[in-house]
This record gives sequence, structure tokens and C-alpha cells, in this order.
Amino acid sequence: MKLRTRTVGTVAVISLSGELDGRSTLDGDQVLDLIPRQGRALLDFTDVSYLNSRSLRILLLVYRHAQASGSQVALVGLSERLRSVLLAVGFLSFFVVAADVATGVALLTNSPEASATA
Amino acid sequence: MSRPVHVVRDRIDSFPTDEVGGFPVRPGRPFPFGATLVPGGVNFSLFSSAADALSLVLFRLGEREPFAELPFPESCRIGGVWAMTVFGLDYEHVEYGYRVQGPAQPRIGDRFDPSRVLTDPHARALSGRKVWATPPQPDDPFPHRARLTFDDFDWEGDTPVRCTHGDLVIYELHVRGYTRHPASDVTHPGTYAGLVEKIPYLKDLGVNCVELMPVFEFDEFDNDRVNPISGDRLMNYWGYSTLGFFAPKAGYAATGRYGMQRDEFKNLVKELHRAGIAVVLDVVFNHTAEGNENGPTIHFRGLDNRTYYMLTADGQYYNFSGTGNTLNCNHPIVRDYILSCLRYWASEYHVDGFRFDLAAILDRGEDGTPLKSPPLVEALSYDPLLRDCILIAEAWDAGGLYQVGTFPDYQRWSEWNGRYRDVLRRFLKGDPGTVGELATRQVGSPDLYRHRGAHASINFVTCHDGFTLADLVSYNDKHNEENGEDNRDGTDDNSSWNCGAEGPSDDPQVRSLRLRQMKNAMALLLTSQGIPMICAGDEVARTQRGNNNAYCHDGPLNWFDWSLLDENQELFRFVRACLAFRAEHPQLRSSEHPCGEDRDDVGLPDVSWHGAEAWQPDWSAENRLLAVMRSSAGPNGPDHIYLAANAHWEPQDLSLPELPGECRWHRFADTSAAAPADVSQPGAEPILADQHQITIGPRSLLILVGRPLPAPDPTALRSIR
Repeated sequence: MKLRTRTVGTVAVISLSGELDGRSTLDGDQVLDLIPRQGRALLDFTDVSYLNSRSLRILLLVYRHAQASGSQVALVGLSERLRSVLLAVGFLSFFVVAADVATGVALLTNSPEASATA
Repeated sequence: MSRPVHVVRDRIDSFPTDEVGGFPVRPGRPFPFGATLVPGGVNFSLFSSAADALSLVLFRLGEREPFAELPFPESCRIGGVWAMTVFGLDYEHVEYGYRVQGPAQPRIGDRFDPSRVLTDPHARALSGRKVWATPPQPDDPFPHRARLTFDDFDWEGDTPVRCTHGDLVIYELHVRGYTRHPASDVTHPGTYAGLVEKIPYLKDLGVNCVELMPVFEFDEFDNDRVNPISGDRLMNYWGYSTLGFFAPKAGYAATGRYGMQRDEFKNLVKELHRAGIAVVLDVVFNHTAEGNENGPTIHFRGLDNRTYYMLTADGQYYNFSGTGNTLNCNHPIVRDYILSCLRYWASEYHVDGFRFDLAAILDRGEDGTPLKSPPLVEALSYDPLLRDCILIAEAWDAGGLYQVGTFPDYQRWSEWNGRYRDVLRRFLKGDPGTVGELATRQVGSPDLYRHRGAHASINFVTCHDGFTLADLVSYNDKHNEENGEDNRDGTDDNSSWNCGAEGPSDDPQVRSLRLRQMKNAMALLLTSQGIPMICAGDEVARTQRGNNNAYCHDGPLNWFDWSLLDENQELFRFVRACLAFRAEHPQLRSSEHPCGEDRDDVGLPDVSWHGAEAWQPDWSAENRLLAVMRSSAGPNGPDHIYLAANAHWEPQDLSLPELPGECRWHRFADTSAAAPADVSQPGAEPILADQHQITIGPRSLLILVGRPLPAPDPTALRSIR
């Protein structure tokens, strides 16, 4: 798995890519290190077609840890398959999800929670 | 926790001590049985009373041949338990089984077979049937492999539904069949996730408990027959033949192909609980998928045949289940196995109760003799983790043991009341000599459950096994030709009546009578004391085209056709109103049987019986009219209910019992009336113009409520003045 970061406005956009349905697993520590404390981050899955079950769990943990440290996180670029799996196991409702980076940035920038922490 | 993915190695027992087959290992922990993720490794534990040697067989996900086989060192055995912790496994991509060596002496019951790899009976997930009806690999030597699982789940504070058992209305459904039909209009048809999408429907209907037909892993291909009419392969669709007692059926999960069936099932339970709906599992502990001597060796047979199965003196299988073998439920080892399984489902999956298939087998000793105090039933009754679970017995078996009313209950168990079903059906079709017994069943079967209370009685008219309600009023005889057994399978004792034509009919009179009979059945069921159970789809007249043993059909015959909801809206509306009526009248849900006295000081006895004349019931065999009045103190004052059921083909004039004080009779339901006058919303029932006489239609039901007239509106009085 590869991670790439950039900043759009006040939001850290973390793009993930690589095979996450083979033996590779999402590195939660690495992702968490890139999320600014009490800041805003987008996790961009545009180049990830699927996460194995362990990676999904780690994603959920990352999300919870980020929330606990006052960060605002949203997911974008979910493939149909990934969205379908998240929906079926009930994980989708845990996340703020946007269709693309621009929408996600706007969502985080304009959300009341984001305003409160800004 | 600061970071999510640490491997904690701060225990001195989290390091290997030996190497087996190239893998670092150490003697494992005997409990819990099964495979458990521990820091850095996986703990494998298995019991066999007579095995000589054991090895762990490891496969890479989906590969036919194992990549490693690790014999358990002698240092890994304590008594009959073999336990070994293996380090360095890529547990996301490993499947496993066991090879067990021991004596092969079938005449004394030992059937060890080291040529086979066995499934772990404690496996929490099984592969092999990950996607429903995907054809199995031909000649796969080990088709049902165990998977390693995570036990974590974000329950978001979920707790089991803690409601009084008497308030339950059970709705029995098949997970796949409920949303598999194209008309179901869900995102994931035929799955746990699909069922989540139907929760609003369940809420709208008014049920508060789903009883899921078997969801323990089974093999849908466990059926060799072919539909002689269509030529299609028949299936093991219902799933009453368990492979994995700790594993949810992967083929019922939209995410089964990704190994996430456990999460998907947990999410279903969580969402049902969020809607106030309890979850009861239909569990099958009377037999397993291994069948008789000619069946496959999957787990118990090759692991400890003598312990797990009831065997004759010459090592043959007793067959009290009618399926080839009988689980040896009261053997201490098997008893612990079943207990730990149910504890697991109650704690790990938050389920609220269990319905035990052919539960009379749970009462049999090792030689099949019924026990007065069966240890398993006693253990389940007093188990601390199961304390709040509802336990329901199908209190009979295929060996002729019929225990309705006599199942050892320890004040904990309820029973499918087969006698309720039978008499209600016979009354509805107009059989003579049924009024007296119907009266007893209507008030919670005190003859059967005097000391246990009315909640011991699970009342039902239909269930998965037998005719649907629509078929009960459309067929005189079963039509099971498509099951491939020349219509010999399925019961011949249906007490059904086709209302004048066998099968589908365009005759308006026949159709009208069938609809009325279905309303009659539902109204009787939902006003009876005891816990009612509805078979899913009966509320919209689902048909199985006369098939009363549809266990083998994965198709429209069994799937819930959601277009019926529009087509049969009148019946749906009626059933929904009856459920709301039940919710409004606590006396219908009371555990206490009525005694015929005015216990609540409401001016009338808690139960009284009537005929065409008030206070004059007719218990003669040729009478087909029953009227009952129930009175108690309700939440808003005195609560009086009068129910008359006329199974005669002629109408009858009834004189009504007089109500005390300012109470007046209001009509809740009259199944002889055309919709929408057939039923009212509870609380909005119209007052009867004639408070003394009423006519009940032929083959009809009438339900009245007695309540005080509303207080005069002072504003209206002023305007009159």
C-alpha cells in the first residue's frame, strides 16, 4: 500500500493506492500519523478497489482514533464494491463519505464540527 | 490504545518454545476450544476422548492442497484435549482442519479415519459455501474448511431486547427467502443485509421478534434429488442440517465471499435491536449433516463418534431425528458443547433466544430413553448467560416422542403448541367437536401449562413446516410432486380445507371465503393468550402452490413475493390492525390464565363463555360457535373484549352480554364485513347501534371492545345551551 499526501485548503488529503485484497493490509499507524491532530483529513480511496476484512477493521480503528483526538475525517473515492461491503456490514454509517475530493473538502470545511474546531 | 495495530508481546507466554513442521509453536491453552487469536499467534484446541494422535492441517485460502501439517507434540495434550499455539500464521489467508488418528472399529462405535481432514466443530467461520449455490469443487477432499476470525465488532452500545416474553409477537422467516425475490427491491437480495432493509416493514406490521430459520453454516447442496417437473437440482434450502454450529451461514451474507459474514450478521442483530425487534435463532441440535453410516465424515464422526452420537450396541446410529443420526445431547461432553455454543451466540452475537428443532431429542438419554430430568435441558434452563433468553422447544421428535405440555420446562421453556395449531385448523374448517378445546387454547392452554403460565404456549396456525396460511384455505391435499418423492413426503394430516376448489380459483365466492378464513385465523391467533407466531408472508397470503414440505426449493415457490403486499393489501391491513389490537390490550398478553372471577373488580369475570345466548355456551359436538368475553383492568380503565367465532356455514344471531356502568360495545373487527369495515384501528372502533343483539356472518369472526362512552365535551354542552 502506498500513501500520498497533499493539502487542499485546510484539509489534508491522504490518497491510498495499491493492492489491499492480497496479503497487504492497511497500515493504521502510518495513516494515523498523517492525520493532523484536531485538524481535517480526507482519506481518498479512488485507487483502491477493495479492502480485506482486516483492513476494514483497521480503517474503522483509525477513524475512531482520529475522532478521539479531535480530528475530522471523511472518506472519498469509494468503489462500488467497497461501498457495497461497507454498507452490508453496517460500517458505512460510521463514516462521513463524499463522492470526490472537492466535495469532501467542502463537506469538512463547511461542517459545524469542522467550524467548531477551526 | 495509542495505535491500532500493535502485536502485544509483553507476556512471557507469547513466545514459541518449539518448532513443528517449520512453524514456531508452544503448548497451547486448552480453553476455549477452537481457534483463538492470541498475541503473535493462534491457539488451536480440540477434544477427543479416544484419539491417538492429532495434526493441524493448514491450507492457503482457496488452495486444494495443504501447505503444512503440524502434528501436535505430546507436550500439547492434557487429558483428552490437544492444544497448541502456532506463531507466524497469516491468519487472514489461512484455512485449517485436523487429521485425527484413532481406532477404526465401527462395531463399537469408533470411526476414526486419518485419511480425511476434519472440520473444527468449534469453527467460527467456514469456507466452502461462501456464496450461495456456487457449485462446489468436484471431489474436493475437504470442502468445509475453518477460517480464523476476529471477534471485534462495534456494537454501539447494543443490548439484547429486554422485553417481557409475553409481549413478543414472533415472526418466523427464512433469511434468503425473505428478500431473494426480485420484487423485494433491496440492495443485497437474499442476505442478512437485505433483511436489514426490511426492518421498516416489520415495524409497520407490528411484530417485535424474528425467528430466523437455521443460520448456522450448512451445505445447500446436501440434497441429491432432482425436481421431476423442472429437471432442476433440488437443494437443502431450509438448512436443517448443520455443518458449523459456531459459524453463521456465509451464503446468507452479501459479504460472505470476503469472509465478513460474521460482521454482516452482527449488524443485522444490531439493527433489529435498534428497531426494538428481538432475534430468536432456530437451532438444530438433534442431528448433524453427517447422516448415517453412509454419510460423509465431516467432524464428529471422525473425531469422537461414540461421544457425539447415540449408538446402538453394535455401533449403528439411532435415528430419532429421521435424518440418519441423533446427537447424543445428554452426554456430558455434548451437553457442554451445546451449552458453549448457545452461550457463544448469546454473548458474541447478542441473540435473544433459541427455538430448538425436534427438542424432544434433548430429553433422551444415551440409549434414547426419555429422561425425567435431562441434564442438558436443566443446564440450559439455569445457565447464567442464557438467563434472559427465551427458550422454545419443538417438543416432539421423529422417534414418536410427543411432549407438548410435558416437556421438562424448569419454569423456563416455552413450547410450540402443536395442539393449538391442530384445533384451530379443525375449528376453522368446520369440524365438529372442536369448540371446547378451542376455548381452552384461546386462554393460553391452562390444561397444558397450568403451572407454567400462558407464555409457555407458542401459539401458531402455520410455520415453515406445512402449508402456508393461503394454502391452508386453498388445498385439501398436499401437492409435493416437485420434491421428487412422488408426493410421499410431507404430512398428510393438514386439517386444511380448500373452500370449494383445489388450488388457484377465479371464483369470487371461493376467493372471498378464503380471504375471510385467513382473517379468521389471524384474528383468533392474535387474540389468544400465549405468544403468537406468524409465518412470514402469511400476512399477504403467500402461497407455496400446495407444497407442504418445501425444504428443497430455492426459487419463487419459497421466496417472499413482495408484489403480494399490493395485491393483498386488505389482508395485510387486517393483520396489522389485529397486531395493534393485541398491543393495546394487556390481558391478551398476560401470563396468568383467567379463572372466571372478577379479580380486577371491573364488574365482570376475567373470562366468561357465551353462545347464541349470552352466558349460555354450547359445548355440544355439533355446535360451531364460540363466544368468549375477557374483562380486566386496562391501562385506561376497564377493558372488556368480546370475541365470537362462527365456523358454521350459516349466520347466527347473538345476544350480547351486558356491560357494567357506562361501558358500551364497539366493533373492532367483523370478518364478514367488506373492507374497510372489516376492521378498525384500535381506539377508533365505532359504537354498536344495538347494544343487545348482533348477527355474526357465516364462517366469520366478530371482535367487540367494551369501553366507557367518552365524557361529554363541555364546549359542545355550552353551545347547546
